[in-house]
Amino acid sequence: MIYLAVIGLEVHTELKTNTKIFCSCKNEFNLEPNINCCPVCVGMPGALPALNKKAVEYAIKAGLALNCEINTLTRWERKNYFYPDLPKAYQVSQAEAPVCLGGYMEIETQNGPKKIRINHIHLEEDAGKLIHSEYGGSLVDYNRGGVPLIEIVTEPDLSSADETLVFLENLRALLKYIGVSDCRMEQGSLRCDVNVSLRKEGEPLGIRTEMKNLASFKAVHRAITYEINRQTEILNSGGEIIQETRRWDDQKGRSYSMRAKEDAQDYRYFPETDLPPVKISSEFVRQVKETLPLLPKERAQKYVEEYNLPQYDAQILTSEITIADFFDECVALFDNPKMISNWIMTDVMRKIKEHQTEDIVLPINAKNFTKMLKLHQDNVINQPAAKTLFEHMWHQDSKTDPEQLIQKLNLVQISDEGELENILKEIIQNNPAAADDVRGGNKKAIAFFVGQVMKATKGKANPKTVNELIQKLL
Amino acid sequence: MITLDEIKKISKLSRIEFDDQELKEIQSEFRAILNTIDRLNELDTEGVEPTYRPPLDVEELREDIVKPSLDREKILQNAPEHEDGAFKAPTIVE
Repeated sequence: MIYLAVIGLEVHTELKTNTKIFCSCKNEFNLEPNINCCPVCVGMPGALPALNKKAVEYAIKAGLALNCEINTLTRWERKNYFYPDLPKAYQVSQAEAPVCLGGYMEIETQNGPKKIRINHIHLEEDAGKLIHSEYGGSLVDYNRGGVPLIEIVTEPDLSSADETLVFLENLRALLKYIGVSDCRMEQGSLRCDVNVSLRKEGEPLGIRTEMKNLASFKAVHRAITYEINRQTEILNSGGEIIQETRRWDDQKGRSYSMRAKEDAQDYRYFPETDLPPVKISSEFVRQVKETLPLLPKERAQKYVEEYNLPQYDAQILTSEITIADFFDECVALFDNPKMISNWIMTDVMRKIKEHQTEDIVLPINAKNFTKMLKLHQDNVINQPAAKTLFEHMWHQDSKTDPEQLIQKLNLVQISDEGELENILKEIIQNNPAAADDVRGGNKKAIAFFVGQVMKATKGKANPKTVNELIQKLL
Repeated sequence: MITLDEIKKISKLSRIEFDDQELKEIQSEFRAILNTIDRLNELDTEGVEPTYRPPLDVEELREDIVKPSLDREKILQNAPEHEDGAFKAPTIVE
């Protein structure tokens, strides 16, 4: 029996504010425990929260980028549960009136573009972190407690592990684009819970399970694939799916049921009366909208129209803000967008893939990169030399002016006809048979002579000049 | 009418343990409190926005400026147990 997978996500993202959501403690990823803490974020009795304006602004920003409606009045609730990562025994969150409602993000799928709807985006405080002590017991660090989070809740519009991955990658790129979060999964600033259920064509939704502890996009993909298989097997053998929360074990490649049904959580949400509801004026929303950069789609469109780049190239260049910004910087310094785009699309992208990290780091700067391109364009260095220079700049020396580097690395192209002619004459003398082939119109033999001249000049000969000389001499 | 089972569930969620005698007492107190609160339901609140506090305008919220945190010594001062700068809790089993 073939079932259709129905997948929904809850994506938690830590916001890149200076301070925590309800107090003025520093919001930073820190390994030294409990140094960014105060009575508010460790939940001391009587301490009162004061909402961070920037956190609201960032939530609105995310909402606007995801086509949401912004609530004019947003409210706070307490979500109650006992766990040591939560010093007040409740998490301040939003249920009734979150900052953003509705919305969607469009992704590319095999069957064309697809809108993944957003149910809502709400603000909440992050919990502390638990570390296991080598002497037994759990150690609790509240540096992360009170860091502002947005939770982006999608409708169950995703239908495969692949599609979910595309959505998450797009979402991460978008959130980084608008600068509200670093989205570093390894530091936990982006976390994601996945809901999966199966249904038969034309039938209502099945019972869903929720998967937690997904520490990477790869884990999300594996966990979804695993869960679809697990549910398919149960249904095919006549069993029933139990609504439950499951914990993914990435090392073992399987998930475990976390809580039995009778312990089903009851969070007993109720109003957080320590925090007044917040009125969000349309004027404030308009101001936030003005701080939004061009989003990937609009930016790609601009590249197509202004620089005449192919749609595909424009899309790749704008998929990550670091790359798009680098491209813009380069274009401002060197007026050859097509050449810049080609180099980024091939050599720069290849380098980035080789050193795959969560954050794209470019060791070269736009100034020297475009100088290198200009040297190549002006025929001071040929293609192989430009590649050698690029490698050198990327791995060893990105600071020195490329003009000096090409001297140091001896990469300057030989275009001097006299010098090249002498070299070519000697090669012709030593290879009379091949010379006859060229005279007889053999194209392959031409390539042989070009190759020999390149070898003799260590790849520095101007190929155009060499070709002209071969025509002339033979 | 609140049942004993509901009281038991709430006490479990609140991590408060009662013996049978206490449960019975709590039940009757609970009833009295709920009856009082129920009287509020007699009011017609049709079309009235729930208001537990007057709202604040977003412009009036706290600016995002870092202020010094409390010394860790002070933060940990009342902790029954701490280790390596962290609060110590019993082992947590998932």
